[in-house]
Amino acid sequence: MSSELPRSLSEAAEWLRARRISSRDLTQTLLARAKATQDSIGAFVAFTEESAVAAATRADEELASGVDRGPLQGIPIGIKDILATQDAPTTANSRVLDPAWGNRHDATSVRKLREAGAVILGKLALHEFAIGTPDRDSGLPFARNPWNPAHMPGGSSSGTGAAVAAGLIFGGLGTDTGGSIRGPAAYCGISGLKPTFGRVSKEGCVPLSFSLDHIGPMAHTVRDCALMLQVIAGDDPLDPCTASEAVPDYAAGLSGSVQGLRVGVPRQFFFDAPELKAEVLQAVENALADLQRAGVTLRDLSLPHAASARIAQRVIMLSEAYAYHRQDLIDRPELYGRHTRRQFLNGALYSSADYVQAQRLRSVIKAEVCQAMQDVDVLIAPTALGAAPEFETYDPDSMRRLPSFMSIWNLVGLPAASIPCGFSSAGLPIGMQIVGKAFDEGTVLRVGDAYQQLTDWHRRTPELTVVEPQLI
Amino acid sequence: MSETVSSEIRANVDAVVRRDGLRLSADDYDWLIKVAADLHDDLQPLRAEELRYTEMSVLFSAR
Repeated sequence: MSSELPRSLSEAAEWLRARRISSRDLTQTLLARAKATQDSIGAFVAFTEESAVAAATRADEELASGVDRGPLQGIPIGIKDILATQDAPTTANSRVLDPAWGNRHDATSVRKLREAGAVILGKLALHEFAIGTPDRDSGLPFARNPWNPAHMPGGSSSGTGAAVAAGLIFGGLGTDTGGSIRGPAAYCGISGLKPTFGRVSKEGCVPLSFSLDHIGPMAHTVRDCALMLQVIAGDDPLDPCTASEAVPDYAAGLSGSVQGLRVGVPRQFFFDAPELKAEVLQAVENALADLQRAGVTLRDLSLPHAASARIAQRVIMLSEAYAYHRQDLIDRPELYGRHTRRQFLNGALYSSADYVQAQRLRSVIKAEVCQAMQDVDVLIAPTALGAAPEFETYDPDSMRRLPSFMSIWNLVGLPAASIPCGFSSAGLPIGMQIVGKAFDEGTVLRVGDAYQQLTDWHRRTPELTVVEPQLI
Repeated sequence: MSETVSSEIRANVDAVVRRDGLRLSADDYDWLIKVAADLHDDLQPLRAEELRYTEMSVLFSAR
C-alpha cells in the first residue's frame, strides 16, 4: 500500500479516529485501485460500490457524532464470493450455483461485519466451489499473486489473499476446508486464521464439506485478524455446528510477550517431508529460533498419524461434497470447470464404509493431537511445501499425492493461523502455521502477534505489476 | 496393473456411474479409472487394525 494510505486495518482505524482520512475517501481510493488492478490481479468478481460508499459515508457521520462501533467501523474489506451478501449475488465462482442462492441475505459473519461498521467493497474471487483449480479453459475468472502474477495466489480464498496483499482491502473473509485460508495467506505474504470448528458461524456459506468447512479472517497482521475474529466469532442459532463457548477479548490478549509459552515442534512429517523445500524449512527454523530468543520453550513432539490425516480429510471432504453436488453432476456436469467436476466425481468412488472409516481415523488423530498438545501451548509447522507455484507448471493431479501440512487441522478442528516468516530466493512469501488448542485462538494470536513485533515480513508489500493476460 | 485388476476397477467404476446415472465424457471416465486404480493404496490408512474399536461422532466437535 502506498505511503499516503494506512498499512493495516489497525492503522486505518487509528487514522479514521484521528480524522487523517475519511472512510469515504479511503473507500473510493481503494475501489479505484482495485478496479485498476483487475486485469493484472483479478481479485474481485463483483464490486458493491453503491452500498460501500453509503456505508463509508455512514461510518464517517457516526464517528463525527461520537458513535464508535469499534475498530472495524469505516474499514474497507472484501468477502469471498462463497458467502451470501445482500448487495450482490453469490456465485461460488461457478456457472452451476442457482443465481437465487442465498436469496440476497447476509451470511451471519457478513451481517456481523456490517453491524460493526465495516465497508464491504465487493465479492472476492475463489476457486470454483472452493475446490477447483484456475483453468483458462473453464472460462471462470481467477486471481493472480500480487508478488508475481505468473504465480498462483493459492486457493481457494485466492481473491481475499491477493486483495489484502495488493493493498486493495484491509481485511477479508476466507473459508478453509483443507487449507483455503492458510494457503493463500502463505503464498500472498499475509496473515490468515482458520478458527476452531464451531467458533464462527457457517450460515450463509455455500458448503463444500459440512464437517470440515471453516470461515475466518485474512489481513495484513495477526492483530487485524484478531479484530475481525472478535466481530464474527460466537454462537449462532442458525448454525448447529457453532459452540456456546465464551468469546474472549482477543486484542486485549495481544501482550507482545511469549515469555514462558511452550511451543510444540512436530518434527516428524512436518519438518522432514522429502517434498519440503529447504528454504521453507530454514525460514520456519529461523522463526522458531526468534521465538526461542523471545522466551518460548521448544519441545519436539510426535504425531504418528499426521501423514494419514490427508486421506481421512480427503474422503470426508469429497464424500460430503459429492452428496451436495450429486444431482447437478447428473443433470449438468458440463457447467462445472473440468478440475472441479473431477474432484467431485472422485467422491462418488468412496463407499459409505470408507466415509465411516475416515471419521473413525479422524477420532484417532484428534485424540493423538489432544494428547500431544497437553504439554504445550501451541504447535508451529510450515504452512506449505514451498512458495507459490507458477500457473504454467501447476499440475492439480499431482497435488493429490503430496503431503499436506494444513488439512490435518481441519480434520481435528483446531485453530490454525498462517503468518509470513520469510521469502524464497524468487522473492515469494513463505508462511508458517501456529496451531492452538480448541477454542484457544487467543494464544495462537498472541504468539503470532508477538512474532510480528519481532520481525517485519508482514510489513513487506509487493510492487504491483501488470502482465498481459495471455502470459497467464 | 494386471488385466484382471484393470477389468475389476473398470467394472467398479462402471457400477458407480450406473448407480448414480452419471454422464461422463471420455476424458473424465479415463481420469476416474486412473483415480480408482490408486484407490486401494490410497485408502490403506482407513483399513488400519486400530480403527476396529474406534467410534465416530455423528456431529463433529473440536472439543
